[in-house]
Amino acid sequence: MTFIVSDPRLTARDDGTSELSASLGGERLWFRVPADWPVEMRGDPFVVVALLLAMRRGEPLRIDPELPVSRTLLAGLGGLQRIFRLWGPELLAEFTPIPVEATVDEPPSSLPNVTVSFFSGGVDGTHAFLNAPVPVTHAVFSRGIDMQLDNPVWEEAATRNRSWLTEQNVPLVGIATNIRFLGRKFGLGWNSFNGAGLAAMGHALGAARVIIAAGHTWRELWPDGTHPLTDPLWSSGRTEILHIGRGMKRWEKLVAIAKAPGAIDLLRVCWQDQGYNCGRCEKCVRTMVLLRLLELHSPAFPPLDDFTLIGRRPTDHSEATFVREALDLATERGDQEMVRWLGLALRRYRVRTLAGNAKRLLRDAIAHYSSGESDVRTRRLLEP
Amino acid sequence: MPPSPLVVRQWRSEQGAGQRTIRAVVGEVSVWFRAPDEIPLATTGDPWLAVGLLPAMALGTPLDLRDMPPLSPRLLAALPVIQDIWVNWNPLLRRVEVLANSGTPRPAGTECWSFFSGGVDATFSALERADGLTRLVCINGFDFMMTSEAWATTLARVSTLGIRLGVPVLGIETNWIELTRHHRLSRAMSHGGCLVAVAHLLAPREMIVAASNSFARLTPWGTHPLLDPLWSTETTTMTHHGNYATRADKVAHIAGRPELLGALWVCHVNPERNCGECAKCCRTRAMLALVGQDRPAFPDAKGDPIAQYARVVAQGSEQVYLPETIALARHQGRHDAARILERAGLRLRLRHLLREADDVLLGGRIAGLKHRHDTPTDLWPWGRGPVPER
Repeated sequence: MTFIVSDPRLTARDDGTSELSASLGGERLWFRVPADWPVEMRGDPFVVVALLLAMRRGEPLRIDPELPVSRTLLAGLGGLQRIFRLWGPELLAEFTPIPVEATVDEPPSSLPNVTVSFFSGGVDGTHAFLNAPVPVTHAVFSRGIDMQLDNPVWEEAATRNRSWLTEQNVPLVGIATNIRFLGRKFGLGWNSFNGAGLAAMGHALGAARVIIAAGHTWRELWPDGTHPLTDPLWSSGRTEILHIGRGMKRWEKLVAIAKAPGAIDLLRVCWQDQGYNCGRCEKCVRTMVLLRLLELHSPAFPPLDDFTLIGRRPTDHSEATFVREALDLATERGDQEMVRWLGLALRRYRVRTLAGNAKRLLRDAIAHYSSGESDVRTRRLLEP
Repeated sequence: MPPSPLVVRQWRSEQGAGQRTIRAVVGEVSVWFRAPDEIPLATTGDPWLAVGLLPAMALGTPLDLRDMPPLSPRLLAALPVIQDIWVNWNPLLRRVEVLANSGTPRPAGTECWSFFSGGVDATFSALERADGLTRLVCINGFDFMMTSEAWATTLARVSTLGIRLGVPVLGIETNWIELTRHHRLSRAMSHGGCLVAVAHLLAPREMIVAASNSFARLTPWGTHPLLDPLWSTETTTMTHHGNYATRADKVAHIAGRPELLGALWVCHVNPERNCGECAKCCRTRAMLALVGQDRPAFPDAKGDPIAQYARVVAQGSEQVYLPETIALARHQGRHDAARILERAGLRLRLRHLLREADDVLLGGRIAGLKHRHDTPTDLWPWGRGPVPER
């Protein structure tokens, strides 16, 4: 079987957008951009998404000759395959190296002065926007990634973001895509290929530079969909992908954001599709705790009055990292109440991790000693 | 009162006895690098930035290089990110101001060289990058300070490997280890600085640093695929090579060239020959045994290599390499060996679990009893860690 990218279409839609789409392994991937945005039909955005999907299936990838692919990008795909092959176990997916067949070219960027930064009003994106190594000319607000395609709050958030960005003399560009949901159809969670997804949107826009904001610091370099090693490799000869913001912890970013007039009022971190910020989910609470510790206020969040939410167990090492950072800050600031609740959350996480490790060890030991041929999975041998 | 800077001063280039020595005083330590006379050494300040930055960050004091020759503008521009990475990796380090003169970029060099100890990583990279590689660089004085006799033996051995690879070997000597001991900087954190300093003294077009870890197991380390390229100048590109292969992949690849195995040197205990007993020797011997090639590199080693490696694993130092060794055993159809190693892995996991349980449930009381008389530890990635082997 071959994983084929074919049937490219560029369509003008009634809602004032242009839709670029193609078939990827039999499923349709689309990007909708404002009708006045100069788009060009190329293979770059599609091959970026197709690579990991095809590797997941272990199928050679072939791109329709109508969709030329940048020579630089094609070379980068080789490096990406070498990395994702080894990251598969951590990303809970097997990525098999595959050949990629495409027609290559290397035209210059048609938007050489355009630098876009993804901007949803969150902490990382706002910080990246304010601290980009090159001036951001357009802020891109996506629909279908952190906010569902039919979430009515998108319009409210877009209005607020646009208003603030206008004061910065930077226009907001809306882009909608089904990229996140397409990954699911191939058994790939968004966290495994979010770097590819964001890069694909940048390629669809044809910007000369695309800024992806880091969610973690240089210390948290575990395999991840967006990563300082992999994101730049999604670059083409026309579009450079920049991964920035690893030098600061989340609370340090908040301090920097608070210095930009009006930016903290915009903050929207919630992925729950329950209002602007639900005030109860992990991301909301994580941000509200930091605001309290930093003695900052944002009208975008409800008051933090239910401390039991802080003591909830983090669900993975990424969330646990944020709790640890907040705990360090709370300790430094002498906020004993926060120290107590954050310490409880971390302790719950560690106890749960310990129990999970004990359970897996017992299961693997039983499997090993009760069978002639072990079925202990190699990757599990040294957990955690 | 602001902290007094770490000053690098008294830069000198000396010639004598067929060798050229470049030296400077870094704070209180005189640091030198020595190369055969026929090798031109660059006279920029770039090497001294690599020498002084980590000690200055450990002290939390500015680094003053104004008495040094000018530095690469590109390298100076990369300093904020290099420091960002280090302070995030090690909470004991501080971002510091660097006072230096920026120079005019020099034209790029012409050759591609690679650091080369004669071990698995370096040999793998030399094989993979054989096309265009013109020199291998072996250093004495950054992890071992070998005696003249031991260094001569080592250089002869590494040169033999170089001849078999078709690339000449250049020996460089330094007293780098004195600087790192003075500041209690662990080798894990500091060795990259020495490699960068030597790279910028030699200033080829490209200098290859062989990767220690695969992409699957990247950890804070003195050389790193995210760090090394940042040390590039307009003249010399620093390339971190080989993360795409696991150690087992590398050993299996090298085993395809049996003539190299007799000169392969992996031991960190004995600089003259593979002892066959240390963790690195046991690991490499086991991997070579799985591809049927352990004798050439370990002619005197006794006992079953798999059982011996399983014993080393139980001591806890091989957590990175065990899964890939098991995968190699399975790939080679050595299910008996895989099962022995899996059992060692299960025992290791049990040890980790008990340590974790002590930490989580007892607040580390048992570990505290065990380690209460430990000596102070060195500056290590993630804070302070074990005193490295010396």
